[in-house]
This record gives sequence, structure tokens and C-alpha cells, in this order.
Amino acid sequence: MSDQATSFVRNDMLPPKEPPSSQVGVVKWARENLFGGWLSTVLTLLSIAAIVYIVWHLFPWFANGVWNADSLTQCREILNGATGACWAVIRVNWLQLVFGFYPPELYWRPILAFVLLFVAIAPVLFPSVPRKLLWFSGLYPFLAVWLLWGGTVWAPVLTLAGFVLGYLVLMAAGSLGTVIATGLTIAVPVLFWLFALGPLDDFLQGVIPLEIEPVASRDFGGFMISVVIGVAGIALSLPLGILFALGRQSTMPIIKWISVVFIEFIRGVPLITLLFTASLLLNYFLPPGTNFDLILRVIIMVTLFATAYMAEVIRGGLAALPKGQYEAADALGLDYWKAQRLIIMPQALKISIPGIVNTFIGLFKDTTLVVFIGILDPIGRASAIRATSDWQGIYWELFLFIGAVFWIFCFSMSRYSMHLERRLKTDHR
Amino acid sequence: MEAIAERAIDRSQMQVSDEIAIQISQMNKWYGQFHVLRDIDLTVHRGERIVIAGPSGSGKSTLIRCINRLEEHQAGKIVVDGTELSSDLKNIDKVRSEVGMVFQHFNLFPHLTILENCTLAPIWVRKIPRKEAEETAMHFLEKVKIPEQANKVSADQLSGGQQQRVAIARSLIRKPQTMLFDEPTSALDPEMIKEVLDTMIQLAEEGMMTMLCVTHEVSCAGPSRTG
Repeated sequence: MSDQATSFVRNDMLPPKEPPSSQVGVVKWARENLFGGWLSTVLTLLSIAAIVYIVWHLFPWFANGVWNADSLTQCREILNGATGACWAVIRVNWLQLVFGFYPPELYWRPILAFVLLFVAIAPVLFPSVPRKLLWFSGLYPFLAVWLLWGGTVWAPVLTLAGFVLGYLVLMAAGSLGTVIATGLTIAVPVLFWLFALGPLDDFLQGVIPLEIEPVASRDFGGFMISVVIGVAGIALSLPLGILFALGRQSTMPIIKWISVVFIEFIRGVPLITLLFTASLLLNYFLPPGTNFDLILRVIIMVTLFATAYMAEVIRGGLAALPKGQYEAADALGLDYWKAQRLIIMPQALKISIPGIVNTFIGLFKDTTLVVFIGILDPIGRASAIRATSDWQGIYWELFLFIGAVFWIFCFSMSRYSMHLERRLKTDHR
Repeated sequence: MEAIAERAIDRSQMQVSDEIAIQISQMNKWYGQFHVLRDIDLTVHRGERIVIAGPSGSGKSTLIRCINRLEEHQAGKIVVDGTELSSDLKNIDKVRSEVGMVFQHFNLFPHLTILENCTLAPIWVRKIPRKEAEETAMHFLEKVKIPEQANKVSADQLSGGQQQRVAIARSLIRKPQTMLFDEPTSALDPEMIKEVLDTMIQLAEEGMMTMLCVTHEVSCAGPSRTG
């Protein structure tokens, strides 16, 4: 170029033009994705044929469904030989599928608890919700337990008081050194719950009786039990998982080994064996006469199981953080917990979101395993319904329905996690 | 590292007090069996600026990382502003509160804005009210000439040179007696090096801050002689 005598300099820009119509929009998309060559054209046509065939055969079954009938026999009479689903089984047994044997006059309590659940998780999920609502999120577990199981208001209040007590001890014992302070913070509330809670409960109940009708755990069932176990497991397994992930990275050998043994043991055992342990074996180990609620035992086992997975998912997030982040936090003088809370965890959890939500979804679906220890969750209810003479022989409708409800829950979690990832990507926080 | 750090700056040009800022005596460090730092003796007076230069792998970075205990030393003594570094957490906290550090790879917190990067330590360590911390942060961001970027998010939106200047501001806001620079320009493109060096020189000209800079680039050591 340099040996040319004159150089060319363009002084005006050419005006922008539209791209050719075959390169944009639907036409381009169809050409690239559906009819790219003779092979993909054939495959596209075959796929369309398959979809048409499936819809052709299934649609009448869905659309012809019978909603008003009292038994499968009636359904068949109404259908009179045509194909069609018998959705009536869901309409008739709807309340049982949702609430189990929960007393019908008290249905408002689980419904209220379920509605309040959304109020409680809103500030956790969406930053636009006022921060003050987080107080309600903190109180919600106690309120929900009281609404669902009933009984005196003092038991949940005193349980909450135990946490407050622990916090006060932590504040007061802060100067005694980390180990003593931590020990006291754990020991004082536990002793309070073990020895003071029962008598205080009786006493307060005697002075100010505030009670709603108690409902026993054996009356719980249906989707209610899935949601109770699932939500409790999800809410507990995330913080515990964070602690065990940090424990596994700890420089203190005892903490490190406790974490490693816990994680490896729990992960190496099928959930169903843990549930059997919860339902059968724990009774042998506990002192005779203790009435340790079955649902509580199941929640503990499901939580422990999910915690082990959660800890490993979060450890993956921690491992992905550059060492420089820890060093910068150290150099700025942040102590361990502040560095974790302000620098490390926000980034590690963000990286782990897909894995965390994966664990949540797995946990929620695993709640159906409780059917094997005699808890009547939706699957258990469905089996019971199918065993009645009215509905013997029905199965597609029930299981499709249960699957659809679980799918709605799990798909919502999945969508939320995608939304969260997008949000964190755009604001980098 | 066997040689003692090279005194790159002519002392007569600096305001150096007789007070000793950092005293390292007979310090040794091993990585496992590997003897990295051998019998290091170094006395740094308050206000002194030192460039530690040398080939890669000679232990320069390790030396200054020992000064705020990002690395432990196994033998000998390091005293910073009268506080000896040992495994005592209180002493480590005290030293870190007096010593600022700038890293090769900036190590800004990518999940926080530039302003939040700067106000984090004042708010959470010194317990300074947010508003006041933000004002101070803006003051230091102006000093490193990037106030307009305050609400941007760090990693992707700033150039390397800008990120490093934010990192310097993040350290300065804590008003440290001593600043440690660990290869501050070696991750930067050539055209960015100058803006960071200018910031450092400006710092050196301003006050009595003790500065230690590790580098293997002469371009870094050069200007600091005059500074």
C-alpha cells in the first residue's frame, strides 16, 4: 500500500441498509433450524407427524374427561365406550389429596399458613419488597408451626424465646473468648428448651390460657405434608449446608473432620434408610415415654440429607472464588465471619445457584418417599383412594394430577432461579 | 531471597523520620521444605519509600505478604509499628488496620460497586456511619481521579488501570501508616501503567506515608527514585 501515490480517504459514511429478507426473522430461523438440508427437512417432517399423532390420540382423552361422577363405574357409564379421563376422582377426593385427615372445620389454618408463607418468603426472594418484612419471615416458622399443629401459643413463643436467650448470651459472653462464648450460646438455649420449656409452658398456660385446637401429626396428609416437609427442609438445609461447607474448609481439625464425616456418611446412605431410621429406630434410642413427633423426625432426616448435598454444592462455589478475594478481605481487616458474610458468601452462593436450586427441587420431590414409612402424602393418599371400591382401577388421572402439582412447584423454583441468576448477572451482586 | 532489599530512593529527598515503621530481623520462611526467605533483615523508617526489585520467584512478594501476615513466617521477628506479628489474632488485626495493601490482580470485590468496595472496611471494621464513609470514599476516589465511576460495578466496566486506582483508594480510605504494593503494575497494559504510577508518585509526594513496592519491572522503580 505504501508505494501507491494517492491514498483514498472516505469522508462520508454509507447509509445503513436492511439485511436481506432471507437472513432475518422467521424465514431465517426456519431455514437454519428446520430445513437446513434434506436430512433435517425429513427429520422436521417426521417430528411434526409424531407430535400430531400423539396430540391426536391424547387430546380426546383429556377433553372428554368426566368431572361429575361418584365412582369409576359411573364415569364409564357416562362415557359409554368413548375414551375419556375420569377427572371426577380428583374433584371428589380433592380435599383429601390436599389436607389428608386434617379436621375440615380447621382447614383455614393450613390455608392461612400457606398464604402467609408467600408473605414470609417475598422479602427473601425479591429485593423490591420492603426489608422490614424480614421480621415477619423470622417469626413465620413459629407462627406456621402453631397454626398447623395448634395447641398453646406458649410453646412456639417459648421456643422463640430460647433463640432470643441464645442471642443475649452471645452478646454478653462475647468478651469471654470465642470458644466459651460459642459453647454458652449453644448450651444455654438447649438447656432452656430441654428443662425450662415444659414447666414454663404449663405455667403460662395456667395464667393466660391461649390455645387453639391441637391437631395430631397423624392427621396430616396430602400435599400439605409435602409442602410442610419440603419448605422446612429447604429453609433449614441452606444455612446448615453453608456451615458444613465452611466447616469442611476449616483449619481447625476437629471441625473439619466432623464436617467431612457428616457429609460423607449422609451422602453415602440412601434417603429411604434414613427415613426408616427416623420412623423405627429412633424410638429405641430415645428414652421411653418421649413423644418425638414423627413429622419432626422426618423433617430432621430430610434436612440432614439435603444439607450434605448442599454443603458440597456450596463448597464448589467456594472453590471457584479466586484466592485474592480472601486475601483482599484479610488485608482490609475483616474478620472471618464478616469476610464470609460480605465478600465470600455473596459470590460463592451466586455461583452455586443452579446447584442449590437443583438440591431444593430434589428435596421437594424426595418428600414423596415418606409414603414408605406410613405418612399419607399425595402418593399415599392416591393409593388409599385407589383401594376404595368406588375408584378401584383408576390410576392415570391421579398420578398425572400429582405429577402436575409437583411440576408446578418445581418449575416455579427453576424459573425463579433463572430469574435470580439474570438479576445477579445484571447488577453483579 | 538472600540479598537485602535495594534502597532505590535517595534518602535525602524524602522526609524520613527516625521512627521505625517496620523492623524485620532474621526472618525465615519455608514453603514446606522449600526455604524461600533466608535471614531477612530490613528496617524501614516512617516515611521511607522502598522499591524491592528482583527476578521472578526470588521471594519479593512473599516478603511483603509476611508484613501483613497474609503469609506466616517460621523464624525470626517482624515488628510493624511496635506490634510484633505472631499467631495472636489481636496483633494481626492491629497491624492490618495500620497497613494497606495493593495487589497485582487488584482483587476488587466484583459483587459490589466501586463505592461499596471503598466503604466496606470503614463501615464494617471501623463502624463509621455509612454517609460519612461514603463522603470519605468519594474524597479518595477524587484523589485517584475516578469519582465519576463510583456507582459502577468493578470488574468488567473499568479498565485495569482504573481498577488498580480504585484498589489504591480502597486502601487509602483506611488511612494506613504504611502501604504495601505487590507488583501493582505487572498485570496492566503498558498504557495503563503510567496512570497507576502517577497515582503512587502523587501519594509519595504528599505525605509521610511509608511505602513498600515490590516489582520486577524497572519502569516502576525508575520514577519512584525521583518521587
